[in-house]
Amino acid sequence: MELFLSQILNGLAIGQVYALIALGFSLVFGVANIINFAQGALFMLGAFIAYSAIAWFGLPLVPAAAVSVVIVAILGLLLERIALRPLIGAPYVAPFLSTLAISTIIDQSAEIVWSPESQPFPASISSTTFFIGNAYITVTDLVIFGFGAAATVALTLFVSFTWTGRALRATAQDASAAAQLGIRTDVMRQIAFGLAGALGALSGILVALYFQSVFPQMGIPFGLKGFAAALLGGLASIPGAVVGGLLLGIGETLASAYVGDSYRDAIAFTLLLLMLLVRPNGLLGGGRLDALGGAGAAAGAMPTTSLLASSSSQQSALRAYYLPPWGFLAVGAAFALVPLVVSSTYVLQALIYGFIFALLSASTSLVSGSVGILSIGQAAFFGVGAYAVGVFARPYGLPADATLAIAIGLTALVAVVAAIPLLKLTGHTAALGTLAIGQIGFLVFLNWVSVTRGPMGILNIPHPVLELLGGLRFATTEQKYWLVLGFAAVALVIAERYVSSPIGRVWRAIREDRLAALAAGLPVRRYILLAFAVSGALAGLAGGLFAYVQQVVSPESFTVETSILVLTMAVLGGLGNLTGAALAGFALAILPEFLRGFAEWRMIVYGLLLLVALRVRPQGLLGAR
Amino acid sequence: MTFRRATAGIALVLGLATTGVPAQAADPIKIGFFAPLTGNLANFGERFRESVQLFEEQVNAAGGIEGRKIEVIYEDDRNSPKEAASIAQKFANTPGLVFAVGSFSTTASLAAAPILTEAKIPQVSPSSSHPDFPKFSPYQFRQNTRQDKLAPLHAELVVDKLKGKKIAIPFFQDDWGQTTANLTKAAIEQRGGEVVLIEPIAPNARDFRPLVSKIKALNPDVIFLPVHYQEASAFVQQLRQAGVTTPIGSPDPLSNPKFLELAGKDAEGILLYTSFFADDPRVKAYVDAYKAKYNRLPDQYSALAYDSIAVGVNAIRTVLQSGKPLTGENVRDAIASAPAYEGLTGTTKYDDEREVNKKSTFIIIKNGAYVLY
Repeated sequence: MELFLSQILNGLAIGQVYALIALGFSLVFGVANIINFAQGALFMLGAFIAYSAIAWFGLPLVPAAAVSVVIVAILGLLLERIALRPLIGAPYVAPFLSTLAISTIIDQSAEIVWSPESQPFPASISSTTFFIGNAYITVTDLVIFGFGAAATVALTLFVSFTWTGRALRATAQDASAAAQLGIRTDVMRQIAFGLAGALGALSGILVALYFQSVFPQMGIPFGLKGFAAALLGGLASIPGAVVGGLLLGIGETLASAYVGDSYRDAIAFTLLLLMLLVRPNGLLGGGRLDALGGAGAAAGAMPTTSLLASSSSQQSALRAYYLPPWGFLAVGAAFALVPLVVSSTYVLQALIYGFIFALLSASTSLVSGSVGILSIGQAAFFGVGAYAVGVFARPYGLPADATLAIAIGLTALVAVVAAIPLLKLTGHTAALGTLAIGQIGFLVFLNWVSVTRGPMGILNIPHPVLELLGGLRFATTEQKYWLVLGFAAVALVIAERYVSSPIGRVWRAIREDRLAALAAGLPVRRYILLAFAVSGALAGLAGGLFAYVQQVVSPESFTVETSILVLTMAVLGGLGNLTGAALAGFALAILPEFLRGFAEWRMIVYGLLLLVALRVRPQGLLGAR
Repeated sequence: MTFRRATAGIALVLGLATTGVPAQAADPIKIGFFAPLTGNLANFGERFRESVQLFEEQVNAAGGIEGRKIEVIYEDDRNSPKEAASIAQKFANTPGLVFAVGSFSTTASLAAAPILTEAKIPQVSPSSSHPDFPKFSPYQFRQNTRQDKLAPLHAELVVDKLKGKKIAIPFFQDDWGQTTANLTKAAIEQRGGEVVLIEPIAPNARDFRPLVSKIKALNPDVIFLPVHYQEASAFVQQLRQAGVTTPIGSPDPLSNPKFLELAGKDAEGILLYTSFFADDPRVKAYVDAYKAKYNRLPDQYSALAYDSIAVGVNAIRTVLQSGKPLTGENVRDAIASAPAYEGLTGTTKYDDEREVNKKSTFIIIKNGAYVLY
């Protein structure tokens, strides 16, 4: 019992940290209706700028923190100005990608400026600890708690009682109506981003004080927890962010205490998904979210804002370019000639990855584009396919026909099961739900040691043998090139047939207006599940081929970074446009090889190229369909 | 210069630069290097790169090998198996490349292994710790001692030196941590100790209070900590903060100046071992050169990388002196059959399984510094 209470106290201590991070997300989401992926980067910058102010310029803690908060708030404003303002009127997902690109640039720049090492945070509040039996609480906890509570109260008061706050809320509820009443909604957006930056910096500094260290990769793990907390509490709700943070903290601490530390995150994200099944709006998310197009399902109230709403209005003006199904075969046939001309296995290997990611990107485009459920968890499906091959190829001695069939079937099944909690969700909530699925997948790969061998990975996967082709063995890079190309081309033909068929039309109808689709008598849920099944099958095939090419399967290949990369490809190609997705997947997979010469600047250049591409073609390279 | 390298890369991708002319005797000897230079494990990869670069400069300043300079090609794999495989292909398509160093983790090393093997390029990883890594093919070598050879040492440290009967093992969740923890547990039990907790710590985790409370309730006599220094420093801080004074033993990754800096006073009294001790007079020349160039002390990972490239370059020299053609195959044979080499981290003498067995020294953290135990 005493242990239980001390664990609850531990949970509250970390929970308040999550709550602070979640506040920044909620604010931006509420006002600008944007999932700001750069929030984690701003959080990290806040911690590092304070660190530098103390360590390099000798400032005391409080002025250093103030400097950092001001600088990051300005960066928040700039972020809005540079990366998001030009994209107003572009499809919903363009700003989301833009924040991703910015976060890549900031994270990598931080590694260059501050080195990839952890640094000890050069200031501390107090090392005093109070003991209550075996439970304990530190002065630092209390200070963070004080700051968190003060920030929440101040923010609530500001939003509720000042004119600026009211204007912010009005913008959040209905930006065009607010604009008609004379509110400068662009200024409001900027204020929201500035505030989010300030909050991010503040939470970064408090986290640095709490853990007594800062490291350039800290944005992603803490950012993910911030998302989860915000989603749990109800996106766009300030008290919800706090409650969500505290609950998340307690939940995962108890998971760690009674199940095992490695299951901590898996359980946290599973709970989140289960909660979304029951309360899609989050715990404290109310009707306000509906006004934002966040929650609800075909069965409930559902506004007609879809991910591509603003693009569909432009559709007459912007043409989408895409291949007919047989076009993929033609392109495939052309590529099949490449090994006859190019002998460099380096080039062939890069092209192989290009094909695999074209497939994966198309699978993402299917759910994210055609059906309109933004998938930030595709790496989990990719991984299921890869592990299916890894597990069955060597120990059972199965040929590639069998293992790939298992990979496809199993992944389709997993994708359908994973989609069930998402059925009630739309818009950003669904996107964050898929993020949770992606994390759960990664954690299962990492922790289910008896099957996946956990971090050891599955090694020595044999070369693929196709029994259907008379035991044909694919051992060299050229042979694998043809194998992957063949499967990818055929799979893309099938996928494109789906998208161009009446089924594809229904998918797009669901994306455009779920309620109208339901009213027209379409079985919406069944069609969504079908989309996930097809998408899962494609991702599973990509994963299976990846395992054969790589000969090693380990969890590192299936992290959230992979999911984000794949989604980037799908969006960049033009959502719902399989040709575009395949092209962008192919291009972005081989692009890092072209950028090798930039050494440590590589990811920065990559981020910049993404920003430029979004600026030039916000609806995707080949146009959304 | 960056631009030129970029265009060179593009040319290579296009397959224009791949049909090389036969290497001239005066051409530099090419060596491939790959490690995570950006991303999560960049702090380790950066250590590797610094040492390899230092070695490259030192060799070339001394006139190269038999009059030929060496040229190391540095690549960043971000600890991604996909990138490691692409890099391996790039090395395989670089004419005159006869030896590769890398990578940090076993998965990245093994993703490169099939391609390097096919291209007959020997590969020395400074730190891949999966028990099966060198078994992949005769072309895989490593510089770190295999974990099962270290497990008895861990048991000695925990059971004999720290007098532990009830032992808790929080371990880092990667191939190294998992192997170390399981083998150490078995070795401890063989010596009559009892392992009361064995639990993984996720990479990049920072909040260990639930684990600390659990350990506090179990009240072990010793904590054995196979965890990398970033997570370990947060763990010991939170452990001491909770008033737990249980002695801590650890394997070599905590013999890192950065760990002392991060953990501060909470690192006091931790007993560990290392194969690289910066105060050892035998490694002074290296430590001084490293410090002069990079303005920080080398750690065990830098030393392992230095020994990795040294082993390869020695083999290249042997091949050149023997008058045989300089091919990856001959370099591999020279590495495998090389006489014992006294490096920074001990003696490298590969056995039939291409494994080393290096001696370790017990050290303890006292007054914010490592001292011999």
